[in-house]
Amino acid sequence: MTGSRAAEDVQVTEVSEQEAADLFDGICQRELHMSGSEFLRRWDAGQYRDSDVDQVDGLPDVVAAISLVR
Amino acid sequence: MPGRTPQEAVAAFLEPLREALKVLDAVTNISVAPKGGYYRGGRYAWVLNGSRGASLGPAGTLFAEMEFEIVDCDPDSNEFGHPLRVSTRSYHYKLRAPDGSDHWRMHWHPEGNSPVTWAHLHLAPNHKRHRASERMTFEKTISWCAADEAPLTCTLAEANNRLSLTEAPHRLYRSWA
Repeated sequence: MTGSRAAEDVQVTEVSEQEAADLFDGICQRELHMSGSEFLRRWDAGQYRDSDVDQVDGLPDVVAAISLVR
Repeated sequence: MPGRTPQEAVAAFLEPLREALKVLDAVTNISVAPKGGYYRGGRYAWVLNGSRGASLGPAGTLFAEMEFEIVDCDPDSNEFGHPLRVSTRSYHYKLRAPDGSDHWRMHWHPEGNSPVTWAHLHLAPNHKRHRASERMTFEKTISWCAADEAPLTCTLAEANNRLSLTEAPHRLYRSWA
């Protein structure tokens, strides 16, 4: 324990559609090294249709985040 | 926690999570995307600290995302008489160690094409293996971070006590055991 700084400032922020798109993009870049729009293009094209989401590192995080933008 | 309106149900759902995060001595923020407005049957997601996660010092970085839906609830089933609540649809929490490896991952994704629809853990060193778990609350996840020496704003015992208190309403109103 540090006890040096109370984290009393935890915020809940409602993000705009553009901010949500930027957030989704950041998660895609972090996990799959591609842009959010590129991931959605591949997703819509069915590229991940046969993928076990758990067998591709980072894919679960990205799939969960789709609800940020759709 | 139930609410009278979709907006109120979401706020009531997120408030205990916000409260739970206060035990961590870290800069934390929950981002939620209303996508034009909350409505019954709508599916949404929240993310902890944007795409960068929450830096927890020697414990590493916590990444957390949850999908949720606003659903009906029986007003007679809650003390407030409210008709709506939030139901979790999936969660993904992971603690990434300072060396960049994932210390643990907590997953529940009952939809989609994974054959593993039950809540599970992926633990180092073999992250491909699924270890069945209970449905992990976010409070439990924070408790795991605390056990992994995340900086706290109070003692570990106090943190676990506070997390139990914030978790209690969720356990009362959730639809799963």
